[in-house]
Amino acid sequence: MSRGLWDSLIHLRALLGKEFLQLWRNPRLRFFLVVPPLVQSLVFGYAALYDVHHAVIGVVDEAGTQATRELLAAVTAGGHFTVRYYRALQDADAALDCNRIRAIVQFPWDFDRAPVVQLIADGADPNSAQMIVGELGQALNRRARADSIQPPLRVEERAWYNPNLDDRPFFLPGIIANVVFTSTLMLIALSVVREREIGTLERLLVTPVARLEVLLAKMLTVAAVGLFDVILVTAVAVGWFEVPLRGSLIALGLGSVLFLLSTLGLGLVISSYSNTQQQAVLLAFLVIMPLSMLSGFAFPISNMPVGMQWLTWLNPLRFFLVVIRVIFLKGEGVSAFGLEYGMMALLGGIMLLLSWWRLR
Amino acid sequence: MARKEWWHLLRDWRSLALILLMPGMLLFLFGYAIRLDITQAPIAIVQESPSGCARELAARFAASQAFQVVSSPADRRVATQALHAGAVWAVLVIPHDFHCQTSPEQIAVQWLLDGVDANSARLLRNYALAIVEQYAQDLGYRPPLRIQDRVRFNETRDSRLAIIPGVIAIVMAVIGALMTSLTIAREVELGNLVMLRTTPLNRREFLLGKLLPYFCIGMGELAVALAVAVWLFAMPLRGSLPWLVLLSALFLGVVMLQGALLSSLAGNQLLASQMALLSTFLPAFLLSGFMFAIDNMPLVLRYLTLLVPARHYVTLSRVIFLKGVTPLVLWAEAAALLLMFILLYRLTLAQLRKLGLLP
Repeated sequence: MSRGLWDSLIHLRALLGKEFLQLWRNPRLRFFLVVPPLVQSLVFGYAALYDVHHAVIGVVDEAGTQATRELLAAVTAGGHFTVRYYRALQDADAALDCNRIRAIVQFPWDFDRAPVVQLIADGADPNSAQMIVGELGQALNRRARADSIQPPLRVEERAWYNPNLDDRPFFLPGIIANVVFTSTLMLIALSVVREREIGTLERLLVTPVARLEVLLAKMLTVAAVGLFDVILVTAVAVGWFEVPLRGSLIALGLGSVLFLLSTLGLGLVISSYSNTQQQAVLLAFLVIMPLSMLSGFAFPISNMPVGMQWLTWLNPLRFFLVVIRVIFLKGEGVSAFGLEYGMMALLGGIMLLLSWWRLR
Repeated sequence: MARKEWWHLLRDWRSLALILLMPGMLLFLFGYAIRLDITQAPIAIVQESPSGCARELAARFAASQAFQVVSSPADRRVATQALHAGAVWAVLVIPHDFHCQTSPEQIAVQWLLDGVDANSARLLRNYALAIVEQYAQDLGYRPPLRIQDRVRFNETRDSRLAIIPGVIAIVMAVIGALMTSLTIAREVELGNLVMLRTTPLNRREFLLGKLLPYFCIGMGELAVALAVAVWLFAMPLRGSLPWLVLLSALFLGVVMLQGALLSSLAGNQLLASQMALLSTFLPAFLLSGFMFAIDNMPLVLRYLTLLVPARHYVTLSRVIFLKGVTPLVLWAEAAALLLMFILLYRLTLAQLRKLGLLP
């Protein structure tokens, strides 16, 4: 082995020791490596549900017959709806106005002659409104049709990969990507900027270590943190929330490493544009927000305007999300992700080159 | 003190540009890019039955705004491969025994969904059920029950109308807390607090001077955000504007004090900004009811949302924007914000005393 390379390795080891020590010595920083990913995965696991699991609905039963009571029993039987009774529609309307109920079911007084039900949902939250109207309608129809002629057509539906249409297997793998993205990007940007702000970067650079070695040590440290986060959140998703992990772990690891290339590169570019930590934080936030909004993490890309759909091709997070979700739910191996791996490597390479050019 | 802080802000033009750029960008992004309702979802139709009725049903799916038929293979294995590869979101299979006569037996059409994105899959399921139901009725089926549904305050079911008031809350929460979280931590980090002790400045003046410039910026951003919402996104403002501004100012005050408190607790900028982001952005995004209905959450989490200022603000601003009732109906939310404001103010002053700022 040549002397230069050997020296480099020794420098790198020393620098790595310094970085890890800095990370480890600061108890508050240590706290922030573990707690945010945990909190994020728990909160997302419990809070990020689009489906209706519980809603209070108002009932105005002007008919008050056996038939309407049976229909109402069918609505509450699922356990998703709690019912409050109102004498007149105006009272229920007022309750809907001030958010006491989410929807109204109204049986008109002539229900016996013309069986019509009114469903009124609160459009201030349109997604919930659609889910509530859909579920109420299905429950009412099922009951009403139980003892009469069946419709000539029936839809036999099957949801692949997620038969109960549970929101968790969709969100939790996405959290892995998001946690890694934010934490590594912030960490690398701030660790460079902090050294520059307090002047220790200058001091490091007058020692015999090369600039590349300093950066490499920082990147390796942050990458280790990122991989640790991947493992942590995966463990929570699989162990606690019982999200299925059907694909290969090697494919997940490879995807994570390729994804880290671009987050580290991006973090370094951000650090090159900021003189203070305040600027770095703001800039990082300004980059993180749109990238995570335009990644398909919570909002499907195909719903976006076409121009924005094209823009998402520049977003490494988008490709990592595809890899992670397919691995978790559809269960594929390394060979399935040629395009995604390629794009992440390409974007990562560009980012790293750009950062090297900027920091030189 | 305020003049000094202004001076700080103006000198650091990069930060200032970022602060001014952020709300516009966020609103633009959310307003244009984020839709939960589905249009033109790619589907495949496998028509195994040659009957005219099968063609008619397929044509109805094709004509729907919700779907876009991207392939109609003869073999259902081709279609299911497309579903596995993610090229289509759903597959409609019209089986070979499908015919026009209404017989006592039901005919089943198959609707295969990609369940990975559960919310989209649920919406697609509801759309498909509605089309098939309508078709069954046109074939002469008389349902025993007729259901009329209506979505009030938002008849077109546009998700944007609900998202924009939430975005305004997020923008203000983030800007308010993030900016102020950095400002006191910087003074601590640089050791300026000790120097300030020798001046006749007291804690209240210090805090006010620190926060006032950011408050002005925040209110300016609110004005921009409201203008964009109403004029660019045609957001209806059915309630009273003065109430909205007043409650927004209160909310801004709460999140700024939150940032200041975190800042004086953290003592360094890195930690302060991390804590501010974690304690404002995530809760504002997840626990405010902006994206995910609070009713769905487990009981513990539901109570926890009461501590999130954005939750109260999102409720208030949605009601003012969409329902147009006076916020006095929701006095509890407004009172909660006021209570938080007083509490945070006291706590911040107490924390500043601990840092050695007198009197």
